[in-house]
Amino acid sequence: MAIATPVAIVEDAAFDAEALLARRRHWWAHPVLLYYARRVGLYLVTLWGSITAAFLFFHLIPGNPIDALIVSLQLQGQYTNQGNSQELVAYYKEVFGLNGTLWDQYAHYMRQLLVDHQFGPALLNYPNDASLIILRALPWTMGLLGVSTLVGWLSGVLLGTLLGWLRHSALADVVTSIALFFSHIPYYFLALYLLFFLGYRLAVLPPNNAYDPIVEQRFSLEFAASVLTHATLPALSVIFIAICNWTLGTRMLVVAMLGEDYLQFAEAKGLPTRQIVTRYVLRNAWLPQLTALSISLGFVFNGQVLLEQLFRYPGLGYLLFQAQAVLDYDTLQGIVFITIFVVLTMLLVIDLILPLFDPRVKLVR
Amino acid sequence: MMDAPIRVTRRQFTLSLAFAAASTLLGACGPSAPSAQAPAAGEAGAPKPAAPTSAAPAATAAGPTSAQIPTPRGQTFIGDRPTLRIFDSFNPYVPNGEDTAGGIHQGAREYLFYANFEQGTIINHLGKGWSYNPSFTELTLDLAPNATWSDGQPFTSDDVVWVLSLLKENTQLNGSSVIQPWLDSASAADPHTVKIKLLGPNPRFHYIFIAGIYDSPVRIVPKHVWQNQDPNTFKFNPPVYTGPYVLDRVIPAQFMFVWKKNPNYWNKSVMDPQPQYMIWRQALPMDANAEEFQRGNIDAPGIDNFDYQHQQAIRSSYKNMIMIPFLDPCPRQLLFNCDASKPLTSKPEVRWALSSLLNREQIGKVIWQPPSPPADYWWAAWKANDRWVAPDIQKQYPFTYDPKKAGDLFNSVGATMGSSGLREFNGQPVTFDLLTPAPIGAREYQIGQSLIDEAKKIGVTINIRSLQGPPYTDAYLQGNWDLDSAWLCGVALDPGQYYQIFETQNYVSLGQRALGTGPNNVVRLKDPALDEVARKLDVTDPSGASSKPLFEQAMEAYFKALPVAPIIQTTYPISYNTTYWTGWPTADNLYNVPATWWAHFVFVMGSLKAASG
Repeated sequence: MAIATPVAIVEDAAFDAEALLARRRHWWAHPVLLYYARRVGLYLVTLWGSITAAFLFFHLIPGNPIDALIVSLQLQGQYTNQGNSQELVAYYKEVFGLNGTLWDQYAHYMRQLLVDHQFGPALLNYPNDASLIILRALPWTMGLLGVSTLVGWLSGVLLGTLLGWLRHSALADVVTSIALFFSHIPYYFLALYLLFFLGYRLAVLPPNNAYDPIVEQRFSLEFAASVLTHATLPALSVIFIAICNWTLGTRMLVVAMLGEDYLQFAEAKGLPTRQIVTRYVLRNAWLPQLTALSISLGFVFNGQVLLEQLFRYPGLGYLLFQAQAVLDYDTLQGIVFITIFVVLTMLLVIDLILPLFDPRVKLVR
Repeated sequence: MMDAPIRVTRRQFTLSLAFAAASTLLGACGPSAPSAQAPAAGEAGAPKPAAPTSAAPAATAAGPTSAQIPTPRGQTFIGDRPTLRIFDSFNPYVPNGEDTAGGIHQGAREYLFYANFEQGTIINHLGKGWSYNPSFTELTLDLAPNATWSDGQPFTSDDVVWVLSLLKENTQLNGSSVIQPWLDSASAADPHTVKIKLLGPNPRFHYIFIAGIYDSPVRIVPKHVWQNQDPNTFKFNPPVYTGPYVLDRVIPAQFMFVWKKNPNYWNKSVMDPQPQYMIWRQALPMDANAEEFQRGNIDAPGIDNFDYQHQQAIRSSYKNMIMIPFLDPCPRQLLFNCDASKPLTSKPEVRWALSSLLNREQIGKVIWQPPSPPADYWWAAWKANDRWVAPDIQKQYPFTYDPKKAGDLFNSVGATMGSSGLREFNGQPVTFDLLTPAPIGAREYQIGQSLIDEAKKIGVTINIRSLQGPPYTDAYLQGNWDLDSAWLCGVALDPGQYYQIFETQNYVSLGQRALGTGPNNVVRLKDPALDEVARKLDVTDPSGASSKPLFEQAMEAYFKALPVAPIIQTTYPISYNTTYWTGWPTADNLYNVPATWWAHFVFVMGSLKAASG
C-alpha cells in the first residue's frame, strides 16, 4: 500500500519525505499534530503579545487614575478627603496594583489574570471585580450585536449572491445602488433616524432600554418578547448596514467567479439555476466571508459605544466608554482581553475546522 | 440484518457544529440573572429590606412611548442622572462605593444640618443645633430626639460618635481628612447629645455636619449595621438611613434605582413627600431626552443631558415646563501658576494684566449660555453669600476689560514690545501655556480662546491645551501649566475656607502632586499678606461680629495677589415637568437650591404635590 506523502498545506514548504517518514514512527510527530501544536503555540504567543500590548497601551497613558478619581470626586463635591489624600491615594494604588515600576504592575496584572483568574477590582464599582460588571453587560451585547451580526451576515451573503448572479437585471442594479448608498452611512446615523421615526414620531417600537421594566427579568416568554421588542430598533440599524456591506462584498466575489470554467460546465450540463447558485456559486462565495464573519463576531465583544448609549442599552460598549473616562485599567483590560481572546480563538477555530467547510483545504495530502 | 455503519458526512458534521455553536451563543445571550439587592455573601449582618409599603403596584401603562418604569406613573417621581453605574454598593466611605446621586442622598440619607443657600439659612434636621465652648475646642451637638433609622432603630448620639471614631482610625476612608487633624475624642453625653473635644481651636468643625455644596463631608451611618463590618469592603446593601424613602429595588439593566416611601418616616409630620416612589435613572442622549420630557416621562431631567439649547427648543411649544436658572457654586475662573519659578505668572502685575484681557461681559453673553453675569467675587451670587460682599473694596479692584491697562502692566514688569511685534521678557518672547479640562470647543475652552485672541493683540502668545481625565489631573496637580481656564471651588459656607487653599503651608513645589496635607494649593501661591490673614480667619468664628474686618482684610489681600481671577457666574438652566407634579422651586419662589443632584433635593421632594389635585 502506497504511503501518501504528508504535507502541511498552510505553508506549502518543501520537505524531506524520508525525514517525515522517520518522524511518523512517533505518534507525537504526526504532521497534523505538529500543525495543531504550531498553530496553538502561535495562538498562545499572539494572545500573550496582544494582552501585553493592551496592558502597556493603557498604562502608558499619562496620569494616575486614583489621583484623577479623587480629584474629580472632590470637584463634584462628592469626596472630601483632601487632607490625607496622599495616604488615601497610596492605599488605593496598592489595592489596584498600581505601585512600583511598570514591570511590577505588569507582574501584578499577569498574576491576577493567570493565578487568581480575575481582572482585578473595578475602579468604576469598587470593590467589585471587573469581571462582575463585565459579565453583567456581556449578555446584552452578545444578544444584541451577536445576533445582529449573524443575521446581517447571513442575509448579506445570500442577497449578495443573488445580486451577483442576476447582475444584469434592473432590479439587481437598483438594490446594489441602495446597498452602496447605505453602506457608507454610519450605523448610528441610521439609528438616530430609526429612533425618531419609529420610536417617537410613529411610536411603534420602544425607543430605549433593554426591556420593559414592568416585566420581571427571568426566563419567560413575556420577558423574551420584551427583550426582542426593545432590541428591534438598535438591531435594525446594525443589521441593515451590515446587510448592505456583506451584500456588496459577496456580490463582488460572485461576479468575479461567474466566468469560471466549472460554472460554464455546470450550465453546459444543464443543471437547474437554483442548483448552480446554491451548490456552485454560494459555496465558493461564502468561504472568505466566513473568515470575515469570525473576526466580526470577535469585535462584537467590544460593544457598540454609540448605539448602546443612544438606546440606553446596558452592554459592553457603554461600559467601555465609562471605564475609559476614569481610566479604569482593570475594566478596560478585561473588555479588551475578552475581545482579543474571542477574535484570536475564532480565527484559530476557523483555521482548524476550515477543511470541513472547504474541500480544497486539507491539512495533509 | 446488521446495521450499516454510521457515516457522518462533512456537511452533517458542519451543520451539527453550527447548531452547537448557535445553541451556545444563544444560551449565553440570555439575560443575566435578575438584579438582586440582597446582601452579598459575607454580609450576613446586613439588614433585611423594609417591607413594601403597599401591595405590588399595578404596572404603568405600557407602550412604546410610556415612561418605562415599574411603578404607577401617577405615584412616581422620575429624575435623571447622566451616569449611574453602581447598583450593588452603598458604602459612602470608599471611592465609587456608592452612586451618590442615584437617590441615596435625595431621599434616603439625611444630614444633621442643611445650608439653604438660596434663602441664606441653616436648616436643622437630624441635628437640633450646635454650640462651642469659648475657646472653640469643644463642640456640642444636639440631635433630633425622635429620629429613627429606616429599620426602626433609634438614631442616637452613639451613631455619630461611632462614625467619628471610625473615620479617625481609618485614614483611607472618605471623610477622615476633616476628622484627623482636629478630633481628640467624641462621646455621647446622652442619647441625643454629642460632646466633641478638638485638638485645637476650630470654630468651623461643625461644618462637617452641614450639607453645604452637594452634601456634607461626613455621612452618618447606623452603628448597629456597620459595627461588625469591614468599612473598606462592606456594601451596605440595602442601605439603612433615616430619610423619607427606602430602596425598593435596583435594575442595573435599566440603569435605574427605585425608591419607595418609608411608611414609618420619623419626620413625617414636617415633611411627607407625596410621590410614593422616587425613580432615578440614567439619562438618554440630549435629543431623545427632549422627546421623553415632552411626553411627560421625566419630571426632573439632569442638566448634562438636557442643555439650554434643547430646553429653549421645546419651551415655547411645551407648556408643562418650568425653567429656572441655577448658579453653580464655582464661578468660571482663570487660575494662575504663582510658583516662584514661573517668571511672569508669579508676578501679581502679570496676573492682573491677563485678567484685564478677559472681556467678561462678552464671555457671559456670547460664550456662556444661558447668559451669565460677570463674577465680581470668587463665590456664587447666592443670597447666602451676600453677607461676604464688600463693594467698597471691590470697587478698588474692578475686573474691567482693559487691554491698554494690560499692556501697561506688562510693560511695568519689563515684558515690553519687541521689534517683531511680540512682547519679550529677558530677551525671550512672552508665551503662556494655557491648560483646560474642557474638550475642544467647550465653553471653558472658548473662554481660553477669547483670552488668546486678546493677548495676541498686545503681543502676548498663549498656547492652549485641552486635556481630560487623568492626563489633565496629572498636569493640573503637578503644576505643569501657566494658566488654567477652569474653576476652583472653595466657598461653601464662608470665604475663609477658600482662603485656606492659598496658605503657604499647603504649598508643594512644581512637579509634586498638590494633594498634600491640607487643601490643594494647586496655584502654588506664597503670599505673606494673604497667608497671615487666612490663618487668623482659621481660628475666628465666621459668624462673629469681629470676623467682618478680617474677611475684608483677606478680600483685599486676595485682590492684590489675585491667584485666581473670577470671570463669570456659572448659570445652568434647570427644568422641571409639571405634568404629574407641582410645587417645584420657581424663579419667584426659590425656596431651595434647585439642583436635582444635591442632597438638598429632599426638600423639593417634600414639597411636591400631585398635579391632578
